[in-house]
Amino acid sequence: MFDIWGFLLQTYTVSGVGALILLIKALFKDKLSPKWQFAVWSVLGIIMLLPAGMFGRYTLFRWQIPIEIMKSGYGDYGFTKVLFPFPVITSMPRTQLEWLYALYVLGVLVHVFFYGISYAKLHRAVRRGDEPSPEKCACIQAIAAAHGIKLGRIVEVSGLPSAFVYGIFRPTLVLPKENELNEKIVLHELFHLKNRDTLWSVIICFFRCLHWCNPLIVYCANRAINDMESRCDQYVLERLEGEERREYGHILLSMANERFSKTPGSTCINNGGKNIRARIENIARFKKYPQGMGLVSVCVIILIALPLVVGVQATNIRAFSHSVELTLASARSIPCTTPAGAFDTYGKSVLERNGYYRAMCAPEDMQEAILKEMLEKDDIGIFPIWDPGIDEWANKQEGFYIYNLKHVGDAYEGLFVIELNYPPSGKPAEINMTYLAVQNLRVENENGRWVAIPLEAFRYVETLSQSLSWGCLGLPGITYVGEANDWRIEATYQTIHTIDLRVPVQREIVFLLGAYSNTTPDPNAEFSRAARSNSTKCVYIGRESDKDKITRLGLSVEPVYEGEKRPTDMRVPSGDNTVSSSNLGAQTVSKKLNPGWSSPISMDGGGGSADPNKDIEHPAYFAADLYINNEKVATLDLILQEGEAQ
Amino acid sequence: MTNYQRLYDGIGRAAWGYFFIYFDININTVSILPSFIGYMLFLSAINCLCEEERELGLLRTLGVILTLWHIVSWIASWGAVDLDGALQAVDIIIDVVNIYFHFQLLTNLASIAAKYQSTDDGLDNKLLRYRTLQTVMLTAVIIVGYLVKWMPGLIAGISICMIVVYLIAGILLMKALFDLRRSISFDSGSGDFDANTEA
Repeated sequence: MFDIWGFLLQTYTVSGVGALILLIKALFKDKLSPKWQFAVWSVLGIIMLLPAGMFGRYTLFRWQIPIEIMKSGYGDYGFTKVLFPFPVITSMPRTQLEWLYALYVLGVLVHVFFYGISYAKLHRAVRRGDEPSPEKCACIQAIAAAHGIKLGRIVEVSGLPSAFVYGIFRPTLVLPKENELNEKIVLHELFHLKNRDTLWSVIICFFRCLHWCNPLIVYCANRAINDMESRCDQYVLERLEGEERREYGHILLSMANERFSKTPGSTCINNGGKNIRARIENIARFKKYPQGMGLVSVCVIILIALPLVVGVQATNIRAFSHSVELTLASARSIPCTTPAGAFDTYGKSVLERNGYYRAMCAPEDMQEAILKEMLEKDDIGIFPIWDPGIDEWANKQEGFYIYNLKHVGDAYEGLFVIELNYPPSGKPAEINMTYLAVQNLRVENENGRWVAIPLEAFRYVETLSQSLSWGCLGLPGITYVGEANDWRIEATYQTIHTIDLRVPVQREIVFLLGAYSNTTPDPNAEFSRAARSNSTKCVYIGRESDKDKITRLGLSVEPVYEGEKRPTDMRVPSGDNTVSSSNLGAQTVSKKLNPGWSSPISMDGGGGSADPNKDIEHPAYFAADLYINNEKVATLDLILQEGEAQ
Repeated sequence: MTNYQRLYDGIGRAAWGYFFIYFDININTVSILPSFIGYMLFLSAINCLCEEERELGLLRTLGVILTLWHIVSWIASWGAVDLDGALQAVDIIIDVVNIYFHFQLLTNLASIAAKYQSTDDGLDNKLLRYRTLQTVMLTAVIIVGYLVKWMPGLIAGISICMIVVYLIAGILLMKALFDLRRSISFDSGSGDFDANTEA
């Protein structure tokens, strides 16, 4: 926790779990044993140790939404994240909120200090204690031996209201000097010793300090201490019969002094009037639980703990029809947890022109502008449509493509490509033409979530209609070039990443089998497919007068990766206008050239699939064999050209 | 004095209750064997049996919660709405209430079996075994549900095995309960019930 928002997220999350545990405890108060009643607090302990909102997940409720709303009220649109569940101050407070956070941290320190003082006082009192008489020691040892409890040091201290156990590493049984030895109280304390309850009391005290200003958590801490006592009451009662049990209840009733009851590292049988009353009620409900209860007790705790620890992945924006601010806060509370998730969310924000989707993946410094734009458009009284900077609506069924994705430091950059329904700027549509809007896009990690940052405004590309998932001649790629025998050979290499947007139509509707595109963002998406594609062309750079001598052109090309040897057995092109290619990118092309042919000559292309979630290695160079008039005239390497695909 | 008719009715209702819990036949998203009828039968069984086993009375609140939840779920299913997973807190409460409810119910039914079964039936031990198996299976099913996101392939195989085991356990459990009911014979002519073996 580095700021007040982180603390609020942590303490709200923990409060929700505390309230749920109190509710479940109330349901099972007369059904499950005091041992379970104490053990179930371990779930709250685990949640307290886990940073709230970890991996973009939330526990019980999306506390991020109210926090994002409050934050935006202070002009802060950053994503609230808890790295550690403990407070840390990284710089001198300057703003009001930073001072408020500093006040909270001061409160933690003050609580730790006062508990420390209390522990020190107890320590001093115990140090002044004497060893009890040999008769008392023998009696206590006999009780401990009867119940298989290993005894540590025993001391007597004057002025104590009752016995207790003290010390974390070497627990000591402390007895009041003036009182007669009561075997039941000693047994109760010995069970604390056996269960290492002094350590538990320190842990509970630590959490109480962390959440000192949260009354619900303080209440839960007190309940946990009381349940710890009730658990030892249960152990004692299981070993007593009839009248002795009533007597034990009377002993508890006679205790009202709660001195040292909240001191960390100690346990005290008398923990205050109200608590004693609750424990007496437990004693009145006392029963011996049937065999096998341990199993259901453990299962119930697992079924509470597991969902709370795993949490729920926030994926859907909670729409507040009356408030743009609330809906945007909800959007900001959903982090994109993967780079593909950020691409997906950005892509769908463009496809749907949805500003809420854009807010999910926008960096902190763009949030205010999105809010303003959405508020302005909301005033018109219609659903606010966000403008991504494109004239025409995109083809939602086609989705989007990321061309030439590359890893740049810790970020990813690629060309974002969508197909438009109609030509931009009111141009008339032409047959066999596809109209694209493209934009270089960067996805980077900002404060634990992936955000999409456009590197330029959208620009339009007209290209021949083709499947965009296997590369597009109208779009840029990485170029490799080589020259030989009056020819320049150019290979354009592209990678294409896609995310599967298809949702199958329900099987019940048999006559509508198929799929439609899901345009709801998936902030946790992974790329579902990656392809590499290379296309080659031959450019004649020789004398015009020599052109007519060339009647056939053949080319065999194969990508060579770093560390690989140049292939020696490349296929020989043959026939008229034949093309063959392998899914590793090798291609062999033969073209018959008609008199008066013109340059450049497209030699088609090849390509294949790649692992979509690994960086795709680009070829170091392309090995090529050039054939003219069915004769191999050159063996050449197509070398990577400087500059990147734009 | 034992009211055998109530005992007979109670055990029969519990057995039929499990029929509605274990078997689920759907028309589109709507179940024609809705679980809430099973829980209503359990509540009715609890009323019949709580004189015999006082602890069963503690299950009434939990039974009402489960009945209401399953009624709401069933009504929601008419609109193709699945309430499972809609609210995490409610899911957790229903899961833990459900697991405890069946555990305690079967523990008490085993206790009744111990008193009224024929001497060589061993129905009490069978019921306790099925109780333990059911508790473990219910917990495992829920755990697998949470892990499915990370290990979809592995979990799919395990889930099928678990469903088969769960169904077999359910059939055996119902058989044991019907056997227990049969142990308490009914003389229809006089309208009196007699236990084959008096406790």
